[in-house]
Amino acid sequence: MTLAVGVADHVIDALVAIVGPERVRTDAGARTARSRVPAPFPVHRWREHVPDVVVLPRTTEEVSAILQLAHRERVPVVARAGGTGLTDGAVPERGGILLDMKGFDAIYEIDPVRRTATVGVGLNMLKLNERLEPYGLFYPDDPASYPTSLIGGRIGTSGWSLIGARYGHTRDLVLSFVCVLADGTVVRIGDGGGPKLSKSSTGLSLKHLFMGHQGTLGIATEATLKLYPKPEAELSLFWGFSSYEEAHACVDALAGAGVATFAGAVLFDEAKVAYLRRDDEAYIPQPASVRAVVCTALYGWEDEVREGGRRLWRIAEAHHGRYLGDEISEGDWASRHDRYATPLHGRLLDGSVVPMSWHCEDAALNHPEIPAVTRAWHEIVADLRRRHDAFDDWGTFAYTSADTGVDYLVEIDVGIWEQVLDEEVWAAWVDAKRRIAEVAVAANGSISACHGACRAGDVDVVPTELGAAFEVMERIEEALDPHGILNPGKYRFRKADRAQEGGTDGLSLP
Amino acid sequence: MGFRYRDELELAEATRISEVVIARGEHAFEVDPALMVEHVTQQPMPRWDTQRIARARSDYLAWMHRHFARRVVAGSTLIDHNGEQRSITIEHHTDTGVEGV
Repeated sequence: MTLAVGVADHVIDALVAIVGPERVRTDAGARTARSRVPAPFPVHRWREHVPDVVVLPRTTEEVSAILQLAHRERVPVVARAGGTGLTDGAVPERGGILLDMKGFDAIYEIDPVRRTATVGVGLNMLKLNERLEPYGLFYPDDPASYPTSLIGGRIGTSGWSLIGARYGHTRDLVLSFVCVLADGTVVRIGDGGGPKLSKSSTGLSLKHLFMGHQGTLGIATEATLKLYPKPEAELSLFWGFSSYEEAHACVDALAGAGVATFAGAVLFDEAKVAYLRRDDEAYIPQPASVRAVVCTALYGWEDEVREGGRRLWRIAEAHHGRYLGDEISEGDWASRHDRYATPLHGRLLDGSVVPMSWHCEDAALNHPEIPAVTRAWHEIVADLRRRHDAFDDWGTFAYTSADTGVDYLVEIDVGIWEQVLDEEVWAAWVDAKRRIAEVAVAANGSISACHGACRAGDVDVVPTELGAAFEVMERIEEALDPHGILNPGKYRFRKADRAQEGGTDGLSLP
Repeated sequence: MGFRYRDELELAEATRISEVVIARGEHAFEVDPALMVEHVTQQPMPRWDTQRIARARSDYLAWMHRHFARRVVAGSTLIDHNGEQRSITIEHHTDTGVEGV
């Protein structure tokens, strides 16, 4: 297969001069392999998302030189870390240069005195934790892609962690990071000026701004992380419920119990249990009376974990939860760290099996709104299935986002038979996603607690959710990237317009 | 592949578990083959391979546990000697209404 390269030869030559010929790839294989992520993808229009050239930098200086070149030549740049995102932040919308950041996989420093690690953004959390083991420390950023996602992607999407109720999420765990701006300027972004501070009141708080922007404001290269003592003990408990209402009440009671070692709780709705009962070895043998499931996990010293666990157990029992046993509690919890390993097949309306890819549409919601929102989501997916027998409803989860249960990451998992995608089916799917997002926003929620809201369909609803704040974001983005080169197309920022017009004056940077 | 006994090479007997699931041996579940004839087809799998996959999965989950804590506390060890937890009054506020000011 050959693909035309849309970047001028002199730009390719300049890239080769920066990183060397081995790390500049224009072949179709290298480019095609870096064009999609697990997020819903219009496979029938794959060619539109193939970058023109893949570059594999290894130093901040190289990234700076590449962005100076792109800024000068008005060439789009998209950064890609693990490529595991469930939104399409790493999917090029306008071709250009794709920066594959996996070469930044070094551990620069482990500081056991301050309990920090400074690492390249191409490092994986699992690999970092293996290196931290001799120090008795660990880095508790724990997405469902824990073995495969990379720290740079966690910054770019402002990741959510399964055990965030105990340890915080990516934005809490990344203390500071080195970021290259659109014009090649290198800055350290953190709380104040010191690289190893968790709280400062100096100046404006830029750290949250530069996390979760999906590569539209800058490209992180190096991060300093907050480490914790590795817990002595883990306890996970799974209970079955004969009614969704009791399970829904229980998950909030667990989250609000004030148990210090509480790391999170998860509510499985009836559709999720029905899905698992047909395909998951842990749930297939469960009796029909198990219609909803709640699980929780605790981390800490064994004595405090045991006491906290007894308290949570009594709460679950008071809500008529029935303990499902050690095997499912331990095994299923361990599998939560790696959901990308699940067998990806789904069912057509007649029950027959087809290969399906997994899509997870997520929202941030408060507890009282979860039942009505998830019911509406199921109706939307059922309507979609009636019109196009290429989708499967894999149920919903609701995960605590914080230690008090103030809000939840609520997701509906949908199987997609990508082989039959065409323009009509894709349009129906995007419309369903838009409706899913609208339901969440109407419930005073947010389109995404975890993945990002720049996916097709979702992104249409972002201005509705954010109101006047979206205009503020556009102004900030325009000031930092006046020529619109960083991931143009994402979030519908006016980047593409600016690139065609030759840019704006933007922000004067040193 | 090393030496295998005859019964390890045979396909295990199928038992129907539900309308859509069968089992071949203890806790080794499969999608009902009748549902996998057109778009995705199944292949016969000898007993030893099923057992290998099950053991590998178990090893993998244990390995994953070790990334997060030094030991796993089994929930069953929290149960009182009489087999039941004591019930307590739920102390938290369960009213989901929000009062205005």
